[in-house]
Amino acid sequence: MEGLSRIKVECRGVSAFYGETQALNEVNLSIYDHEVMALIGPSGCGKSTFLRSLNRMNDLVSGCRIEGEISLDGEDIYGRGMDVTRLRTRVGMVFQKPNPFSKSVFENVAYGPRIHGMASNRSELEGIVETSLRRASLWEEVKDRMKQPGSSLSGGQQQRLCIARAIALNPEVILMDEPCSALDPIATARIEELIAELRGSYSLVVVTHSIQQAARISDRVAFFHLGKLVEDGLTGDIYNDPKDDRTLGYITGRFG
Amino acid sequence: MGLVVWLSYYLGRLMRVGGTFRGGYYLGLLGVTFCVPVLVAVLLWRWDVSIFLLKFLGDGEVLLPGVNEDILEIWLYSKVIAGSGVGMLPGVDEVMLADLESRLLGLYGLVSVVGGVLLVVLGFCGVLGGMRRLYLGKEALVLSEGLVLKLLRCGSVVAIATSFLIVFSLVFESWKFFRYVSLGDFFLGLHWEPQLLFESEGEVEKEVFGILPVLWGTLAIAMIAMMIAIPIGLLSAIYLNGYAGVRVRSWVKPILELLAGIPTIVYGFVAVLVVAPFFHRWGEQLGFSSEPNNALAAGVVMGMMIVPFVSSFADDALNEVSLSVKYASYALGATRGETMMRVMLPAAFPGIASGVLLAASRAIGETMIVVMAAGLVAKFSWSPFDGLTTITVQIVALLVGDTSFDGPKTLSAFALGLTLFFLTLILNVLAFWIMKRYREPLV
Amino acid sequence: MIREAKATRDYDRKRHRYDGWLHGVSLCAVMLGVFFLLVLFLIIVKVSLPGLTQSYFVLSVDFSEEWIERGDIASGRYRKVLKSGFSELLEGRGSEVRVRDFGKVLSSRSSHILREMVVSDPALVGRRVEVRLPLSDIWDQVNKGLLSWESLKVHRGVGESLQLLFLELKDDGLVEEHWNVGVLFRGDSRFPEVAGLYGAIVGSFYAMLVCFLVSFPLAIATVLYTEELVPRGRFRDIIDVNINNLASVPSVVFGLLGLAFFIGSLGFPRSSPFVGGLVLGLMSLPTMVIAAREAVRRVPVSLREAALSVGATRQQSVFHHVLPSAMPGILTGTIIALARALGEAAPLLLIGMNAFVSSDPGGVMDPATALPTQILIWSDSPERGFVARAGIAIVVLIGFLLLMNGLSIYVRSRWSSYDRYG
Repeated sequence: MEGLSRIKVECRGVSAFYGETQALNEVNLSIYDHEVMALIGPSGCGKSTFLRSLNRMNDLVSGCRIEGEISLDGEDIYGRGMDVTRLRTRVGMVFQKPNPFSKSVFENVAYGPRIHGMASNRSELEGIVETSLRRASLWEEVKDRMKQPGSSLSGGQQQRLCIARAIALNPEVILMDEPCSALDPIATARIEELIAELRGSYSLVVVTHSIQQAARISDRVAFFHLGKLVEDGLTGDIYNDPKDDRTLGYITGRFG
Repeated sequence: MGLVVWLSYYLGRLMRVGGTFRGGYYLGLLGVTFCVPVLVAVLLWRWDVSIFLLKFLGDGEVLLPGVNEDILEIWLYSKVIAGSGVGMLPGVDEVMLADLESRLLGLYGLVSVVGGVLLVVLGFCGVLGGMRRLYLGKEALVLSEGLVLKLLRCGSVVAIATSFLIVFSLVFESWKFFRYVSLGDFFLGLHWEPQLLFESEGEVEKEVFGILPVLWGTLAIAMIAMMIAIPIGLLSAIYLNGYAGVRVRSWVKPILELLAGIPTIVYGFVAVLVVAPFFHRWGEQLGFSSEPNNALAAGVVMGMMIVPFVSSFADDALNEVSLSVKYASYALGATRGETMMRVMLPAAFPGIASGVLLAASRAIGETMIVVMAAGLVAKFSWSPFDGLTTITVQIVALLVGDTSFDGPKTLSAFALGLTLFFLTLILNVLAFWIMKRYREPLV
Repeated sequence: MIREAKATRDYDRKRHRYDGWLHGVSLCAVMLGVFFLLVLFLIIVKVSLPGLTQSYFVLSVDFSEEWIERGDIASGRYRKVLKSGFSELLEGRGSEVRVRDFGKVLSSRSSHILREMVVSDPALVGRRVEVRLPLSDIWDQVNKGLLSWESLKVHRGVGESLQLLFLELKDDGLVEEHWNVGVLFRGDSRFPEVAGLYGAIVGSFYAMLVCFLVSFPLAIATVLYTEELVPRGRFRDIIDVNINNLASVPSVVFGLLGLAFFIGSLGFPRSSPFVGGLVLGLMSLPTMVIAAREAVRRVPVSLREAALSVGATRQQSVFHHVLPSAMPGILTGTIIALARALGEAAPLLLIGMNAFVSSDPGGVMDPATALPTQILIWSDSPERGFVARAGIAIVVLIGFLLLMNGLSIYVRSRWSSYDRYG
């Protein structure tokens, strides 16, 4: 697998600081094209911080400093020439709690394309919206409810709406921060199905606190502990034959 | 009275009712409850109140033969004048007044003593009654707590009573006014010149009490104020919320709040001294109809005063938009400006709208700035440099100075007040309704 | 591909420019607000400056027994004393100026001032003393350089000789300027040079006292009843609605209420601080209730539960635990509400606390003015001296406000141990 796919995102020596506290310590990780990478580890181990540094959302947290190098297709995303707003159209994010805008379903998905001028007329925009909703496997459920507010959907539908919103910008990488933790098991299953489908078009990095979920959805897994990347590799390898004791301990549920 | 309290406390303590120490404490409470009216009565018991009582008892004929309401009025009036150092009324029999005064004082003294004794007796009865109930086994604690509860309830009722009183007194006085001037003439009339009444004594000029020009002035000045306050307030909130760091926020926000804390006479003072003459000159240069006391000065200064109303509400509303939604927008690659304008402001709109309505209500009800800087003559001018008058200015102008209480001029002020009250009430109710209905449930 | 990239870069640049523009404009708005405040402050200072000092003239007078009887000092002929002092001065300098014209340089209340001096110190009778008498308002302005000689000549007919005399006297050091302490300790007057705020300060003080005594217990009663003891039900809802509405009612309406009900129906004395306090108290009640409510809500539930769990009744937990814990917050809100009431002029105008009152109010029921209404009276007066003094009155008012706000901050920080959960 490694030989066939390209590296999409390369992280070298990444450390993160909130003021004086260090949250990430010299993380080296590669994320490949068209794969699902799961980030696992006990709470507070830095996986969310790491995720946020991939689309520079940490810039919004005052006092947060990132060191090291993160490159997207070889370009340093913290470099001078990188326009953050452009970066985020290439690296999208879905949050833990669904957060649709207080607008209609259509407007929610259309927001991204609108501000980035991706459509030159109304029908193009509608096309983008429909495509995104289809890819998020939400189209059938909302095609008659496009004008209703986003908040009128169920929890699982809202989360798929947020996914559609991110997809609308045609990203290359989609980051997901515990996307199912606020959802019931049925909705969770649907999202997991969706992730499997999306793998064909995008690279996905999913933070999850559920070891089982990671095993189900991911191609590769990275285990974080106390700000350090302890171990990463193919899912099967990590689960059947972890090289580090800490990894074994976490996977078998001894801690975390 | 303090004696009664202390005594009852001590007695209860000695008795140790029910084996607990609490008995005495609550006995004391009972004593206090009955002594409170005594305290109140003592504070309020002055010749003024006894006059009121006399009126109540029917012109005092019963208690003081030969005294009727007119004489009482004259005596009262002379007292008021005496206080202001202008000197005695001419043509008034001073001897008779002095005699009246001594008799009134005597009456006052008598009633005071009688009343005082009565109340002390009542107090003791109350204490004794309380003691009896204790012996009957009723828990003193429950009793006194019940009393305290009733007391607190009475206190709370004052809020309702005040609203009721306001409406009632406004309506009552206005009703008296509407006997002189019809509702139609008032609300649809185009002329407001109450001073004309002086010339035509008795017969009320029907044309003189039309509220429309005054309403025009009120709304025009309020609009000028809002045109200043809304942009500045909203933009300030946008800056504070979307662009300012925590440190900048910590000193800028209090400074803006300061604008609301300055007494309005100070604004009025500056408006009339500096702003109005400036606009007057400018207006003349531009060729508009211009007056030294003009609407623009009042409106602009009032607008600045109202800025914190808009900015505070807007800031609070923006803060309530969940952080998660803000982050979602940024994660989609939006700039701060786009996030603010396309996501946050629409989400915060109900809160902002409420704030604007409340600010407008404040602008309409504002008095001192307009009294000092706006004009006195009601007219339908389109020039902002002209002097326009507002409802509040007219209320003040009609009621300040010695005026007969029941003449149509004075009463018209109450009709104006009623109109003002309802105007602001509507705005306030709307503001609260919007808040309630459209508030996003905190996710 | 390259053109596409450039197009997106241009588009992005436009977006970022929009963002920058919004940033700049919103910053301007804030700056405008701050700037306005600064300008306000500067204007007040500039206007008040002349009022800080008062010009005096040093005159030598003879409290001769010819005009003042030792047995009846108060009815002495002090105008004579004054006039003889003038003639002595004028003759001594060989000036052509007439006594009557020179008299206009000094305050019209000079003879009264002389009387006050001798009444308080009868030993002065029969002695020759140097007294300091305030200049009349116009000449005070001239001395401070605020009124031109031109204007004096043209509008008030002051001749050359008087001008020269004045300058001569000034050179000889007979014209002094002192700090205008009288503005704080004297009562109001028709003449600005002797007018002071004492009566207004006393009036405001009494009114504030009554206001506090009325609103504080009622606010506490309302809050305790509706928050703690009977927190649900129709009564509570009605109270809430009323409080919210009353908080937004314009202050003039409360003045109308005071006029119609307290003065009209109940017959309380007009222009008294008592009625003023009642009206202000009712006006402050809603704000106090809202502030007190917040303070009581911030007391953690655990505190009440702890009290109940040791067997206290609801009322006991409220009075012994919740109330003391919330008291700092309540006091803070109260002080702020009172500060706002202090600056309110409109309702006081309507109940009559703006009459010209020259004697100081002795009690709560006597007619009086208050600080804000005094400012209005003075700023309406034509004499220039009054305008400056109105400025000083504003400074005094703001001074009191700062004091009260400072006090509330002190209360909050000193007793924040109770408020640690807030």
